[in-house]
Amino acid sequence: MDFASIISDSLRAAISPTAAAYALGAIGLNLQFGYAGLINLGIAGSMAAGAYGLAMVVLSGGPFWAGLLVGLVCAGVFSLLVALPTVRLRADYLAMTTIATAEILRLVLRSSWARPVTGGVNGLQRFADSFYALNPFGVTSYAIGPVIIPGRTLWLMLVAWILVVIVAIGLWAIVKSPWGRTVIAIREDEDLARALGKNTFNVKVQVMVLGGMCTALAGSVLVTDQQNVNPDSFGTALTFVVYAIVIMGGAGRIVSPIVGAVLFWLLLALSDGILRSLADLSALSGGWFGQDQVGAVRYVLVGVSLILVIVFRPQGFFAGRLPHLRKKVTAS
Amino acid sequence: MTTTLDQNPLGQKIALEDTALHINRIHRQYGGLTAVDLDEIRIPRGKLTALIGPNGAGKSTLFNIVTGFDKPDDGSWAFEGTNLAGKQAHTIARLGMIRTFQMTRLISGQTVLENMLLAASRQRGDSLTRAWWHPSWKNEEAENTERARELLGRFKLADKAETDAASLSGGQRRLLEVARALMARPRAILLDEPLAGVNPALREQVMQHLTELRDAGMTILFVEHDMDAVMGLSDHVVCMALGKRIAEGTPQEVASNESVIDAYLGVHTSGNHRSPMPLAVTSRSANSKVPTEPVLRVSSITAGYHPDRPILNGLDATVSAGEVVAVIGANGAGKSTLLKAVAGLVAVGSGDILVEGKSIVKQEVHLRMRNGIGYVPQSNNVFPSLTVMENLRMGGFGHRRHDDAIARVLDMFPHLKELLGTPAGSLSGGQRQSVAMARALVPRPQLLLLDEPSAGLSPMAQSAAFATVADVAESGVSILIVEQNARECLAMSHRGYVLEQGKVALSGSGQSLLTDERVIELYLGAMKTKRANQLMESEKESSEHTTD
Repeated sequence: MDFASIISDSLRAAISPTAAAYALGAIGLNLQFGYAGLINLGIAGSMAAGAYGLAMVVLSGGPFWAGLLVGLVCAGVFSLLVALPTVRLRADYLAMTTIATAEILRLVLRSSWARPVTGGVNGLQRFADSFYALNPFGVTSYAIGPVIIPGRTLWLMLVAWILVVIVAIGLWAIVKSPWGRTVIAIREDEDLARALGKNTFNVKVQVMVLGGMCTALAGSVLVTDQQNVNPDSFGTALTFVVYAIVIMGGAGRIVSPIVGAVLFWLLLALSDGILRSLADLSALSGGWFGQDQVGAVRYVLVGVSLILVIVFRPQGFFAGRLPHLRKKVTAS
Repeated sequence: MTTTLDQNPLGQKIALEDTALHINRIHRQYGGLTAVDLDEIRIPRGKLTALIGPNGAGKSTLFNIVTGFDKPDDGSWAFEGTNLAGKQAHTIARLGMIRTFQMTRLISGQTVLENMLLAASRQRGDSLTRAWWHPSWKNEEAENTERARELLGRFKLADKAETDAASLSGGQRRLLEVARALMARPRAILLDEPLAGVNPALREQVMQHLTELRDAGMTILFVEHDMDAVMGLSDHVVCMALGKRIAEGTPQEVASNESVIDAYLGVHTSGNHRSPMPLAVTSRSANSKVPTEPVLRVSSITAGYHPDRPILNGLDATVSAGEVVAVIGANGAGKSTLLKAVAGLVAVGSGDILVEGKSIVKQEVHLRMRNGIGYVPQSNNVFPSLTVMENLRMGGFGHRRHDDAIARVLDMFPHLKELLGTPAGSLSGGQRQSVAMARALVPRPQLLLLDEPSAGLSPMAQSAAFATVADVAESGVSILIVEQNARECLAMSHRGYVLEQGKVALSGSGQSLLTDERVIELYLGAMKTKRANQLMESEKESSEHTTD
């Protein structure tokens, strides 16, 4: 494996529909965690709700756009149900209860009695044909710089990144509004917001539902790419990857989750390529580092770099300082 | 409708039609402690009403309940005819009653202007359905911005509008809090210690603003410890102690009320039922062999919670072996901070603290405790879920043969023997103080730091607490004790320091301070005269007192 192909693979990963899907998820989480300070560890749940909503509607004969819509509604309802009882809880309890609800949803989706609708452990397949039927690029491959992308993927990529831009602009508009001001006030000092007449409970529920709907789009893009929805791809690991993206990008800013997602997939693919060539080299000299270790080591590196970012650049890679971190700076 | 000049002094009764905030009855209990137990209180409309009372009187709890931040066990109260019981905090705020907090609160990382805009009431852009569409709230935002700038100008913060709110000084934060409260177009504002931490120059300014607001018809209720401000500012004063209202009326009436003075300084009669000059005092000071180095020497320390705003300003104090030294003074004078600085819980900026001649400033808290300092905090000083025995064992943690030590301590606190298996959380306030003190004594400290052992206790329990302190002192432990109940505390102390604004304003033997008129003045301000104003301004004057 040569260096050029490692680079082009990495760039492909960075602009892939998967990266766009994670960007959407990170935008939603950023609203909840970065702006409102709500530690929602149930992101995977609302992503699954969106993905399954889409797949189930399409497979039962509905049009693709209706599937997307139903996915949004499902995720909204799921987030609402999670938010109503939990949003009053202290941050740590909110984290615990949301992680539990996401797991409950995943276990229900994969249970045997849900199999007729959800496909159980096998999940659902081939529900995005009508979406790909609209593909204007055909089956030929296109070169974007050094990256070669098949027309099918290019179509989804285009749609996904357009979604990212629309959602980001929409969110930018609302966090700049008085509503957004209240959201930040809730993160910094909820009692103060209440003392000034803000119904913080309502706002927090709104944040949960709105963020949940963003992640529903993420789930839909993700499963459209794979033409396959499986309950076990919506485990807690997914939630933590989205958190890693938000934290690496820098919580509490509009563009940072997008930058974070691109960067995450770039670095993941880059380390993958480098480790694989390393494994090739080691095969020549006795095979102390095999191809089968690469996948695991990759995620070890993700974990280590996340720790390093949190310790040395808690405001994220490319973001300015977080407001509530600035407080400490002025105090010292 | 502003009140006409009533010849009726505001005194006892405020007519119902002039009442803005009408408390019928509020009762709040925390475990075995009654925090608030009030009957009727009427807060007059368009007046400045002060709510005063010593620590633990329940003022802040009452504030929290009235504004919906805490739930009473029982109660009913109304604001301008609207019943507020059971209403949520934001609903109460929307009715036009805006509160501030004892610790100033602002959104750091946002500009002063954004902090102001947050408070604007009933904004269209607060609704999610309109928030995303900028034109729907653009005009309103512009109006609010204009009003915010105008208010900031009035509070001399106009040039700070674009700076990060976190960069404001303590006084400016207070100004911002008041300005922000006004941004919500309130009918009444409830201020929790609006003058705490404000320097004298800004203090005048805040007081000026409050007077102007009152003249414009605003109802203002404020909690304040600065008695000069209370006396100079308020039209009406309500005094609370131990959760109850003990006096109400004009500032003059309240100031001359015996029970108010007693609430602040402790009950008068206490000197009688206990030998006025405590037990060992005379004998001990007579036969003590003049120790070369005191147990504790605090030399000109500055300390505080924020490097720019020290609470202690060059304070000196000593405690000799076997001595009981009282530290008294008004709230915010730095009494507790002094104890915390010695215990190691507050960073010391400059100066030195010596225990038996050795500097401990650089020592970690746990090492100080191991090296002979015992510290009993003012509140939360027991582990509520542990039993009394377990609490005592915590005191002996890391010490060998602590069972002997516990037995020895239990001889000093015989009433704890029956309670050994009881969780400390279910004890009464007085019993908790005993447990905390006993626990501090288990590792045999040479110096015991007591932070208001009588706070929040009933008179009976207070006397018991002081008797225990006297017993402990007799066993040879040096004691540095901070007290609100100055009379009883001075009566049993060898020496006393009266603190004011982080410095020693007066010192002397316990007995001499007990009869010193200036002590009352330092506590309650110049009630009859205006002398304390000068006192406050000139620190030279106060240093003259020190060389008493």
